[in-house]
Amino acid sequence: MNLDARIPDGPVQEKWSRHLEHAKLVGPNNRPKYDIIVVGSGLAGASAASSLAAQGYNVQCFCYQDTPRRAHSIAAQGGINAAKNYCEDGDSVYRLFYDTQKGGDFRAREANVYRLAQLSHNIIDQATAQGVPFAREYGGMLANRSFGGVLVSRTFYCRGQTGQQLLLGAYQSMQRQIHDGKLTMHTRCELQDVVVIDGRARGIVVRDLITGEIRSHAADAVVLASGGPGNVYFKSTNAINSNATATWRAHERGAGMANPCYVQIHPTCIPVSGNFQCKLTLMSESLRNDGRVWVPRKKNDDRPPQSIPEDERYYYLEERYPSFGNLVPRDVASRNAKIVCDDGFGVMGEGTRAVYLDFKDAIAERGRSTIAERYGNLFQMYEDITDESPYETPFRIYPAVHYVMGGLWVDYNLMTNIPGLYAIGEANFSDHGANRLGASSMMQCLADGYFVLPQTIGDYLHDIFRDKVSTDHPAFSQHEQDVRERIGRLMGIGGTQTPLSLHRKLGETMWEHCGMARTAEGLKQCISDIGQIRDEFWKDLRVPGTADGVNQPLERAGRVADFIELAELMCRDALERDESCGCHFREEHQTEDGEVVRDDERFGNVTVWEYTQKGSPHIKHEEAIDFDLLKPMTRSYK
Amino acid sequence: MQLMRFARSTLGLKIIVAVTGAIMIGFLLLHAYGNMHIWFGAEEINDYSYWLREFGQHLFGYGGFLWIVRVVVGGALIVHVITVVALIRRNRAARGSRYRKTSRRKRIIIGLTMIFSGALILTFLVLHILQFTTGTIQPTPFHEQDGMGIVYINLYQAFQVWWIAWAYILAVAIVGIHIYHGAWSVFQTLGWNNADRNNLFRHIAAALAIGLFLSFASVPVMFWTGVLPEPPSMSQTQQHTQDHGSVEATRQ
Amino acid sequence: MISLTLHIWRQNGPDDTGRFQTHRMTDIDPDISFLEMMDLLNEQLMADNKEPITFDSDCREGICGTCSMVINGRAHGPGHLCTTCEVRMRQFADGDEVWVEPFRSRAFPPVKDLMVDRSAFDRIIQAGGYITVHSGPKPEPNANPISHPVAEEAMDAAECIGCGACVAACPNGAAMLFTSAKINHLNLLPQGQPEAISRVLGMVDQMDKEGFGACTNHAECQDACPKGISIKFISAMNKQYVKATLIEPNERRGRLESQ
Ligand SMILES: Cc1cc2nc3c(=O)[nH]c(=O)nc-3n(C[C@H](O)[C@H](O)[C@H](O)COP(=O)(O)OP(=O)(O)OC[C@H]3O[C@@H](n4cnc5c(N)ncnc54)[C@H](O)[C@@H]3O)c2cc1C
Ligand code: HEM
Ligand code: FES
Repeated sequence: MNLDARIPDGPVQEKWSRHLEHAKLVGPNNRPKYDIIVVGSGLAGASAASSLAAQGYNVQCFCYQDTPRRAHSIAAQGGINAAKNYCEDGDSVYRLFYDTQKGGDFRAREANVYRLAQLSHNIIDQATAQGVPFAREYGGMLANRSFGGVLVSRTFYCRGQTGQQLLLGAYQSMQRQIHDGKLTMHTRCELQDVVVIDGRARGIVVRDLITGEIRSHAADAVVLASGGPGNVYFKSTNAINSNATATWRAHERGAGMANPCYVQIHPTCIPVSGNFQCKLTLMSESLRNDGRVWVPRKKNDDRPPQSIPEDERYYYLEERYPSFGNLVPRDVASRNAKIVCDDGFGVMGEGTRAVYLDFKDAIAERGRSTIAERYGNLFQMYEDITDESPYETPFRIYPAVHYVMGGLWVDYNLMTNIPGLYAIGEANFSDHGANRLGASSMMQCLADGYFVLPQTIGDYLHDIFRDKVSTDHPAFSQHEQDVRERIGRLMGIGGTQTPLSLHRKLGETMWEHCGMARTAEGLKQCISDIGQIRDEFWKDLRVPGTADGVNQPLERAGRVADFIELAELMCRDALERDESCGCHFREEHQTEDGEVVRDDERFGNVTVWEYTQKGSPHIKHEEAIDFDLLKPMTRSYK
Repeated sequence: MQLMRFARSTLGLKIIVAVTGAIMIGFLLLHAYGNMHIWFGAEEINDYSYWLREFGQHLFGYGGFLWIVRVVVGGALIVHVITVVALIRRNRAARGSRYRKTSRRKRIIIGLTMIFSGALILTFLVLHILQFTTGTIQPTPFHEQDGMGIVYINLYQAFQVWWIAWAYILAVAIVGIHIYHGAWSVFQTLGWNNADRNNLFRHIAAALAIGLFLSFASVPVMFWTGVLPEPPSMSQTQQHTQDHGSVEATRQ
Repeated sequence: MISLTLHIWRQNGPDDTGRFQTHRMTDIDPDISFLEMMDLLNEQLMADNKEPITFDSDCREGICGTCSMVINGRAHGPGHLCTTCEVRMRQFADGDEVWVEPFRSRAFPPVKDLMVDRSAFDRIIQAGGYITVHSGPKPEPNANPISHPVAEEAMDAAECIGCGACVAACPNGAAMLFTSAKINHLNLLPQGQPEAISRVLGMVDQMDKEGFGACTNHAECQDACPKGISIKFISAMNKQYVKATLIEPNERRGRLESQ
């Protein structure tokens, strides 16, 4: 497996500009001769598809939703980072780089992270020019808020709907390209396979979710922007149809999967209630700006929160991390919530575990109306769901699976180890190391789509000029046949269990053993559970109806099948990464007060897994990470 | 051409409905103003009907102004009806299949029934004109002079019949209802509405609807209840109206 | 725990005429969401070897605009400012009869059961709902200040999630609220000015082409809109449309023929 990251020479600060100076290009007259497939229309996919089409390439974009605008990115609430230093509070490109590297616990490539920080500026400029209505101050200047894990205010936002607005900006650009005939959108289409011919990605096979038709599309390059696989845990904050199918099928065709065990658990979600829930709701992290997190000092205290006096409240984040307080990074906040709950301090509302997030002091200090203006919609959302008003009683929150840092391995150009196959956005592994800071994912998705990929893809394309393959190539019919067989198998099992119930089983064991805290034993247990679930799945699944038309259980079944495989790899990765770092917390490796203990010597690297064959174990590869600019240090938010 | 584009689009048609509606509201205001003369007796209203014909007679000739008003308002009415019908057909088609169950807010009933209130108004208008302007239908005798009806007498006689009085009150109530939704709609449709002004516009619409209703309804009510007296004898009226310079004298 | 009688629209594809199917659901936890209840119902149907009900949903938190049901005659069901996926079972009383239908409008052809095709909205955006910019260096945003109220108003319009409830609720199947929100979001901002006129013309034309109806000012759309978008934007759109068609010269650059 070729894991040459192709990082340009020179000092970290200059790598990107040097790379641009030397990158090979495709001339404007030739671009219309290339076809590019983009799978996914989230922030990453939409920004890439529109930029590539605007450059002149022929772009085909695919998504499983009924319109590209509904991609999961739309749900991002809090904001997007950029090192603009508008608040003149000491921000800089270096500091954003520093915060991201440190937040990621030194498990990301410096060159990528530095480039991300550099490009963060352009994203805000680009989005503003597209008409994204970022919040403004009274003087008309852009406003900022702060997010966890940093000491500056650099987050730009549009109320609680930043993702929506940024996605609409990209979506609208796409619609313009569609209007101009440069881009073709295929909605309600799910990727089923990636076609690799002679070692190069040449196209994809999709299933039309309306007609059930299996179709091939050929192209000169395939870009996967299919988002994250958080739903492998069944309950997560992801959209319920988010899936790992696109990346997993690419992986099965040879693309390396990097660091799959790095999963972020978001600290401020609405606790699970009832066992039929299939989706967890996130309350924006921005709430931690003004809210204070606490639990009762007494174990199993069942008094209502209002009647617990101030000195019997344990503001555990403020006490344990005086300098960052409630704004520690997500992994730290989540883990601490788990610890206090494990220790019996958790708030037990109807059998659920939770901690309080209290706005009492903020309301007293700033007034109810200011708080309502800042967080009104979040307060309302919470009240609608739980029937409790956060103005009166504190929020009850608990961590939930939110984001997967791991993903397809890519080089500096965002190309996977299969030439012509790219992965951008949450689907790749590149920039967040072992933990992602809040408001950084959208930054990465848009940097990838607007600024990196459009400038690096030429480097590959110029090389394959006139070397075209069409869907008549036998490989396509072979792949289609594989897909049909697979679907036929799913339809034909004729057992008793629904895809949803098997999915739930998978999620339960993953959350239990491969969640916020992991042990070797638990992970082994989990792997064996997964084996059992896999057996049940292929023996006892029932998919009603037929495959030639809308069949939602079939869609889910296909996704669950891939989740099962991915889950096993995640556990294996977690097991073999015998250290703690960022979100990957192995109980065997912690300090006395429960902090992460890294092992840079053995694990200061990226683990990349190679798929070999159905049933046989993956092969493990490593990419070493160089630290030129910032030497790894112990992360401390005290 | 942009004008054709405008006239074919739903927005354009809608705006035409609003403009023609506004013209008709303007006319109704004028009409109501005219009617108010009746409160001050037979002379006032008869003088007013002469004034209407004499107004601007140097420019348009005797009765010319009235004809201009008739053409503009009649034209507006025709255009209003045609565009409304065109829009309703489009809307029916756009609705597609019907819901088995609908739960709409009660207050939109006035808006939803615009076509019915409009149709009733149209019927009423035709009858109204046939009765008092042309005298084609005569439930009560029609008195004419100088080629036009003698307003006070005709009204007096008609509104002594209870059902005619009630029919008029009902008809103008429907006009008021139509205008209650219509007048606010004009502001909204023509693009003047915004969050600051909306309440004002709602109030203006209500005031117009109620004001027009009261002023029109006052006529049959006042005749029927006898607040307005029986007209002076036919000959007297004729004489004074011929010599309508001596209004003062008649009053004595 | 509550029990309900559900009458749910079943339609096997666009050519089918469709009918209601009645199901009884018992022991529903009032804290679960309506769609979770539908999931449960589907699990039961599958256990009985019946075909589950097809319906759209994705984010399940009221932002993606995928979910689309008319519950008891109201687009997105009981409650204000919420999408179908945000409806909770506690909003129903024990023993209620509940009618569940798809969003109906000629411009939203049915796909299956409760799923409809809303791609008409995409085509309206294609007709002008964008600002033409390429990816690349752009002016510094603060060089072009936007006053707080204007930015907020643009945001009020931009909040539209494109769910189509406005169309579903409108007695005329009109898409005025959607189209006007999209037009105003961009036309309120300085960045949207250069294309303001062509945007209004293009999007309104497309809206008509798709077969949406006209506005009769009932404001049912505003009432059903999960994001509370105001019909003031429809008013503003009309004004801009008059400007675009009747007031602004449409051909500035041509030569004028002399006599
Ligand atoms: C509730 C929530 C709040 C968040 N808030 C923030 C925040 O405040 N700031 C921040 O920076 N990040 C935030 N994030 C993270 C961020 O939103 C995501 O990481 C990011 O949007 C991912 O974008 P993407 O383009 O990679 O993929 P997605 O937006 O997930 O898009 C995936 C696309 O791929 C398509 N697709 C997937 N599978 C297939 C297939 N098999 N075939 C065809 N198409 C397929 C889908 O249709 C979709 O169009 C948040 C995430 C969540 C869940
Ligand atoms: C005195 C006569 C009339 C007046 C003053 C009047 C006034 C108005 C006004 C102001 C409107 C609102 C326009 C808008 O929506 O912005 C309106 C709408 C309407 N009118 Fe009339 N109208 C009159 C007669 C009629 C007649 C005769 C009809 C019937 C055929 C009619 C049918 C309608 C309908 C159906 C609407 C609603 C159209 C829509 O909302 O799209 N009107 N009218
Ligand atoms: S499912 Fe996304 S809004 Fe309801």
